[in-house]
Amino acid sequence: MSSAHANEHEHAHHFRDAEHQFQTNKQGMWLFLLQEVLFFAPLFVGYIIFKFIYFDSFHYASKQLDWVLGSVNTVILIVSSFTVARAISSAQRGNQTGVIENLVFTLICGLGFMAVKAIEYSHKIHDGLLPGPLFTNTAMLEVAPEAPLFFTFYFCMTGLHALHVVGGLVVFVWLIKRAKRGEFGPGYYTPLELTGLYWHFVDLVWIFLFPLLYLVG
Amino acid sequence: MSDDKNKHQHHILSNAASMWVFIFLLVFTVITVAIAQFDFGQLNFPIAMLIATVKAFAVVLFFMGMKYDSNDNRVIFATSFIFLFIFLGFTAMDLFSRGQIRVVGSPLMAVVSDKVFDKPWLPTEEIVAHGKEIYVKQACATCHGDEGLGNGPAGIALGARNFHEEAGWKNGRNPAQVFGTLSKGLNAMPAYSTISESDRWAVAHYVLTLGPRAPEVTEADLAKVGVDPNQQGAGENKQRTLPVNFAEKIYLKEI
Repeated sequence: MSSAHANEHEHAHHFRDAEHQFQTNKQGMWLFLLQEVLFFAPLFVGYIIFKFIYFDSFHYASKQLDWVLGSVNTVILIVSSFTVARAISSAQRGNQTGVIENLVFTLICGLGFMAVKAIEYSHKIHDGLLPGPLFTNTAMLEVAPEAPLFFTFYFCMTGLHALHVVGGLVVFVWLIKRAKRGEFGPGYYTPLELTGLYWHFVDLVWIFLFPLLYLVG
Repeated sequence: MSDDKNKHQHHILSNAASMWVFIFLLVFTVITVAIAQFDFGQLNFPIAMLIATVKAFAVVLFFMGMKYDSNDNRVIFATSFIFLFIFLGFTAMDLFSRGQIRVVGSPLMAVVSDKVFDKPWLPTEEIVAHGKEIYVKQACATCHGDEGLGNGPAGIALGARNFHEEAGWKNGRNPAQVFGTLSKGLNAMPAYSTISESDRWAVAHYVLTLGPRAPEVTEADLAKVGVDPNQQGAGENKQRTLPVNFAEKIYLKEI
């Protein structure tokens, strides 16, 4: 399939036509996203349950997060979702430069997100708020005895999410290379569509993580 | 999946539409951050989740194109959230109803001993041994664990006290204060006012032997729990029967 041309895409022999292949690939992506929801589900459920059990500790610990940085990252991801949507519609209209520009912009957004994450993580590590036995902030234990549990959830949830972002970035680099070769157009843009779905899902997870961890903790 | 009529008719999200969705998401981000600056108590959580859900719908319907997608794909994605809610719902139902089961159940186990101690606020070997017996009979271990580590099957979720720790006793940890907690309850800990006062004192002494040496009881401490050590018969039990109002409740339920 790598020899594909923008307007006359070949399809694998077990598909009726390129459209059949496109729809099947897309359905596969939705199935993947279904299990992604379930993959994140235990963390969300666990967090919500423990948030109400250890309400005061979680409230105190949540106030240690920087909601300004969290908001900046929320906006960054929304912008990148927007540019991914634009990259796809550019391909559908046959606008090659539009595809490349929007993909590059998305990549920059993703890097920006990780940069902000790095700043946040280094602050947390500096304050001794790492999960489990690595939690060394004894002063906080006096005020909020269950704070380590909050930060375990914090690192697991945002860390898993950040891994998804990194995975997306790798795919975007690959997509940019292919887009530069002019592989995407109205007749074939499956990788863009599927990566778009994935990237929007990553945004979706953050849409819930941000208020849960930073705002109402 | 593939429909020949729809061949090469993929929906193209117009620039105007994607711009509107983008602005919509930004506006709701500002709203949720702004609202978070005010404290609505219990409503904080549902409000934030409602706004997040509204944003999620915008992303799923337009950016992910669910609005223009096939029913198959809609069902697939919706299924994941149905399972998420089953998971959350049943876990929450289980965890947050455990305390209630204990509160209803414990008075029925009320009459467990006839033992009366003369000065039950003094930690003698005899009363500690009796306390251990009551601890077992009242199934304290359900929450507090066999060793009193607060790790019983129901205790982990409810945050049951670990008796081996010195810090964090909300009502203090001299025998009178523990007696008070046993009598009145504390958060998920039910009140055991239905077992006799001597039994309550005994349990208090027993659990205190598990941790570092407890402070001694002063007359002021005793006064706080309504005991005058100088009065005749101070150690005798004032009430050790099934409370009438509880019996009534059971009776009415059975009708």
